[in-house]
Amino acid sequence: MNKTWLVLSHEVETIVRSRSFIITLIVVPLVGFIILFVVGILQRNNPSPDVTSLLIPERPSLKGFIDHSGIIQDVPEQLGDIVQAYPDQESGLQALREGEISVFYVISPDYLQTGKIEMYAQQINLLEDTGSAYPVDWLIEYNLLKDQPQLLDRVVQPLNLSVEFIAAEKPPSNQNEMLTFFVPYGITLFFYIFILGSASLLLSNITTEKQNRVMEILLTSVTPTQMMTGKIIGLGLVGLLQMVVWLVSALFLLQFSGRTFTALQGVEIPPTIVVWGVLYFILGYTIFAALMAGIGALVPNLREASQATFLVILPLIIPLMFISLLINRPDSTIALIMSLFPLTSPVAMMTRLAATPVPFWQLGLAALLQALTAILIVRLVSGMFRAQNLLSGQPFSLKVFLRALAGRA
Amino acid sequence: MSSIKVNQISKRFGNQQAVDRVSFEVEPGEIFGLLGPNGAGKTTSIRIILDIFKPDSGEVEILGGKMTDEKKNQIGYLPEERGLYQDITLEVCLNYLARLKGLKPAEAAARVEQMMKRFDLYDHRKKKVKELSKGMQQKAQLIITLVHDPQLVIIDEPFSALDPVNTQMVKDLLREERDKGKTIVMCTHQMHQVEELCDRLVLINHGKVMLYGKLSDIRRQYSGQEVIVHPLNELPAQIPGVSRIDRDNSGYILHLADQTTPQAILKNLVEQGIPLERFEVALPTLDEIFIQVVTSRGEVS
Repeated sequence: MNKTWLVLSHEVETIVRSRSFIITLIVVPLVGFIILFVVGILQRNNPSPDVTSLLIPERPSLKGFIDHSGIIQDVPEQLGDIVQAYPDQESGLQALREGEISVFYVISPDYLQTGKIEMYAQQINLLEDTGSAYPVDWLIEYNLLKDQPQLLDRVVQPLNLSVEFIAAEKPPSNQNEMLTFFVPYGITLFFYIFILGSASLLLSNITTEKQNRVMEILLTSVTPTQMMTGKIIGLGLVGLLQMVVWLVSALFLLQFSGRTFTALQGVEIPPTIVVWGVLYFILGYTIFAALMAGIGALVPNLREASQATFLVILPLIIPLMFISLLINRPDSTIALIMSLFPLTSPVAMMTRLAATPVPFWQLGLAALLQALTAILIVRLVSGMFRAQNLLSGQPFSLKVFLRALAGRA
Repeated sequence: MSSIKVNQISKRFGNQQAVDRVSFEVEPGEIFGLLGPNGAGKTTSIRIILDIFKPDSGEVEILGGKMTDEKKNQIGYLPEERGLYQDITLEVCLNYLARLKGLKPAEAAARVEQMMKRFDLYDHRKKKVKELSKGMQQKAQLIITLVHDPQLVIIDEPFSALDPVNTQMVKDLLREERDKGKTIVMCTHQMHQVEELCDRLVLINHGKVMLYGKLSDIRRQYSGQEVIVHPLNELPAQIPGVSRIDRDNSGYILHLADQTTPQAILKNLVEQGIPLERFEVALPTLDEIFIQVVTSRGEVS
């Protein structure tokens, strides 16, 4: 235990004092600050809260139309800012060319029979413009049905959905959509950054020790398990420190720039999710960090590690590929399998848990399987440290990696 | 109790038998030579002794039993593949590795300081290891090997990259450690260093033990086929039992035929009335024995 602590404190101290770590720690928030600063300047004349408006070319908010069918007799006043009727097609197109309007709709004389509307625009945003013709489509519905307001309401909003869950437990946060949407993405993102950051740190740390040839001296002073445990916890703490510094500076920068994440306002993460989340997070990190350490033990240098790194990261990517399935059908068989299989479980179970109540036995089983896997991998990888691979500097091959994992190298 | 007892260890890597039923014992308080040409299996044997590798078969007892964490703190090891943390200062590096050998922080700091002074490295303690010369790094390695006052020291090629002054210093240091009762295993193929320092040795080739025992016994075992003779006058052209006569400075080297003993030659020369200044059974150098053994591939049972 004493030597594990010694390895741990040495790793933390060495990295935290290293120039590259300090630079990374400062540069990331600095880049964030610069981006916010630039965004601030760009937005000074256009105080739109929507960041996407900076990414998409700016267009006037006014849309124009000409109605040859004669359906639209009345344009409510409140739509005056966003829609403009033109007496003839030429003046409408002229307005479009001069940039007064973003889109010009031409409603065909036989609209009621054919539904035909022509759309003219300088630039067409396929996602935004082709799906709906708002507000022109609403104007048509309004003018056709304004005498029957109740019918208009049903046409515009056919479903007034009331959801009743018949599960024993109430769903978290009363189907808080923000929660279901942001928590899984947030957790997956956090996992990626943290595991890729810390575990890559571990990988480079071990390959450096191999290249420096310190490993043989270390192996005659500490056991591989002591060394592994010390490094995994130490570098995990360093990664955590880095994340905390970045998160705190991100919050500070947001405060400083006078913004808040409106999307996250009102999202309260229930304590059960936090408790399980911390547990899965620790177990998941241990599993992936140990696998990365195993790669470090096998590859002669960092460059040859990429092939194997991908193999290890793959189980982290799979839940992301199925994330909509995990959110929308959290009780499906595939979601259950992914949330129990130890390599995909840390992310997949968190996603399910954010989307739906998960039976306690599944949560417990997932944690148990992850813990057993973590112990098994740490032991296997410790064995790999002893293996001749560590000292021979042979080139990496998948076969060697799998053989070593099976304890046969 | 032997410091090291190696009993019939074998280790195979793929198709190559790196170590093949090797046995030897190292006694406390001796400098023991572990010799062999490159690729003979010396380093693999050491790694098995140190529990870095597991043998396929056979067993090792170290300091009276199996390797334990406690025993690791009583062993100093200088591996053939030398290495230090390059990006930290010498002082931090030495302190960390000393503490991994079980020293308390204050004790480690005091010992490291004392040894840096002895090895003329004290003025460089705040430099990063990568800024030190190769010789300085070599001395730092020796500090790591000895800083925790180990009972057993295993050093692989201790004199490589050292200049004559530092080589002499290391030799003195090894003798000093032996005189304090420490056991030293020296792994090398520099035979003259072994002749100078070692009490006993084992010679491994192709993973097998070729020679094992006291240095003086081994030399005697390989002697007897040559005698050095310094006569007052000339030697006769033919001497019974001598296959060849070579001149050697002021004397002769007589190469004896098979089954002929030096005593028989001496008797013959005396009976012939040839006056002699010197008659000596030529002991072969370890270098000569090494070459003879390695090229003949004979195996010791």
